[in-house]
Amino acid sequence: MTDTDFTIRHATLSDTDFISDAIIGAEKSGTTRCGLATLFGLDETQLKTYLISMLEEEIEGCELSIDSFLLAEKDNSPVAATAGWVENAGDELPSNQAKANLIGYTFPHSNLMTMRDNAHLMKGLSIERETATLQFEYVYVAPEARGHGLAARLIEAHIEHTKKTHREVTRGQLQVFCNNDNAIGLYERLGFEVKQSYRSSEDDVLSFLPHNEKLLMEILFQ
Amino acid sequence: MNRDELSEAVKAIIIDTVKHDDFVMSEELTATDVSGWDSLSHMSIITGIEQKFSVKFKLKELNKLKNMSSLLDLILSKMQ
Repeated sequence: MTDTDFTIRHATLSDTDFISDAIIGAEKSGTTRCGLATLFGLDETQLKTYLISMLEEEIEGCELSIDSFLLAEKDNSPVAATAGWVENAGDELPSNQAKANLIGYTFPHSNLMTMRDNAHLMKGLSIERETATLQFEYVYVAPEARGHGLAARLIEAHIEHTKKTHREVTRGQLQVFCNNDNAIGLYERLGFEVKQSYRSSEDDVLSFLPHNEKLLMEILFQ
Repeated sequence: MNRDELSEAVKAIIIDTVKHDDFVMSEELTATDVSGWDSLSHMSIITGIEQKFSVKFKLKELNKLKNMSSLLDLILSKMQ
């Protein structure tokens, strides 16, 4: 299998099954803990169903927007995905509100109450997304497709696309848990630099999330 | 309940969620004006409003909200 066997394309509604798996895989950051499931008291099967429902709403401008995703595929099957969107572009809502509206509308009330009880765990780990930056989320490559540079190709494709569609945007940002050495190494090789680190001091955070520390990394476009 | 009373009740829900009152309640208020009003607290505030006033918002309605004025308008329209 050569790197040219893979093609990059925009996601469509026919990709929601793979993208929901990609979101769950990326959320785990190499661990077994998926914050979107644990914090809301959901199992992964339930979460996947709700993720597909949210993607099908076709809300724009956040990490749960089908329009935000680029995919790598081989033989017409997706094997890697990454979300990227320009924060607060035009008259769109800030992405954190768009995402919160989607979750609040989709998840059962009891699970929202569970999240309310767990919200303290996120104190210190909530990172504001800067207006007019390209934001990345959910960088995921299926295990069988790793080692072909697909994550790098997807990130670079997002940057090149944004340079054409939003000429005013000159920076990209992503958030990564500190345990994910492979991902951090990749981002550094692509030109990302650590801008700030964030830490939760809650004792039980590691029961819910992959790590208690996150990095905000930034790249200036060439 | 008139608009001023509703505004005070919504303010109380915001304070209960973000755990401070370091903001000025106005028709122009947005989430970015309130420290701690992030995605998690946004969910709690909206859920709190739905419970308090026995209303249910549609996703389209939530995504059209621009500021406190449009939120108060939406709640009042649901309570009629």
